Amino acid sequence: MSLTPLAIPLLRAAAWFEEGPSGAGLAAGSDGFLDVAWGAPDVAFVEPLVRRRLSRLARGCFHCARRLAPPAEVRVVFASQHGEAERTLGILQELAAGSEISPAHFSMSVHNAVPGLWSILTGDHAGASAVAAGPETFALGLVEALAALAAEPALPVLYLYGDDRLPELWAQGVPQPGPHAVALLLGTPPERILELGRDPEAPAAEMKEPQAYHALRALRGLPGSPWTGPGAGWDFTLKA
Amino acid sequence: MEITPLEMKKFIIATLGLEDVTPESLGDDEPLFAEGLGLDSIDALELGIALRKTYQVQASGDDPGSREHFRSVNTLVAFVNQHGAVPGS
Repeated sequence: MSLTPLAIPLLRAAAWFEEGPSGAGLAAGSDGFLDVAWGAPDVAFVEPLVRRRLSRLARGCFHCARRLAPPAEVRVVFASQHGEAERTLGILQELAAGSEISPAHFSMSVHNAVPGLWSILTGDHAGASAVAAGPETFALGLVEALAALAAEPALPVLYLYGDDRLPELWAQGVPQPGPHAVALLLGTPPERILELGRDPEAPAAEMKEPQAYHALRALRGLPGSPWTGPGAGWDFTLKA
Repeated sequence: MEITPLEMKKFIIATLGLEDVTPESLGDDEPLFAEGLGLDSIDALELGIALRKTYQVQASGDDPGSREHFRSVNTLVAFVNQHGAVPGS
């Protein structure tokens, strides 16, 4: 049986893909609500001392966040299935070789590195959380973002989601959609409402595309299709 | 062998990935941290490890002298030339 869908109140949305045309099959450009881009992420607004520490994942997320022009104070929720896997692998390889690990790589390898850097860049001291939830990461991160908004409705929530390509050593048998990132600004009164439905009894299926691609097509107003993965089925539906 | 201020600047820029800094734009006596160049505590750790690996100098966080050694390019040059081993070029 499907659970009652959650209504996500959205103000603006942005997506970035390293490779174009976008994996989600969306045209580049903005329709006034959803801004889609591919190629080099635009992080020129980031001061150089912060920018040098940004991974590809962080650059994609920052690009999207900037497109939303978020208010000075926002609650941040970050979600990524694999996070900074390349940096983590580099640290493990340094340890295996018996050499000292880089403090900079270590500090930027943690799962909350992206929201931490965003907080340093913007001087925003509101709370932040970081989620990883396997193939269902995008949707469950969105649930976390909705919960944060419900806890403090006057404070908009900046939802940042993304994944980089996995290092080759870890990539076998794991779907590799290509580096991509999404930013959603949750708040009221909403411009659009995204309905999020979960069917825990949907037949298990191999994930073909990241959930985010389904959600983005819905946000563009394109015909949607349910996402099915190993754990459950999810529906993303745009309300006016 | 002794290290020169220019070599130390190149070493700092490469170690810390300072993409917007050139050896010419970095002053010999300019403070490296906080209100000077703007480096932070992670940079200090990173620089400490790199100096140890490359020049065999021991800079300990417990040593009050470390703060003075890390103050500027000139103080780091003096520190390495006095206590370290500069590989021949």
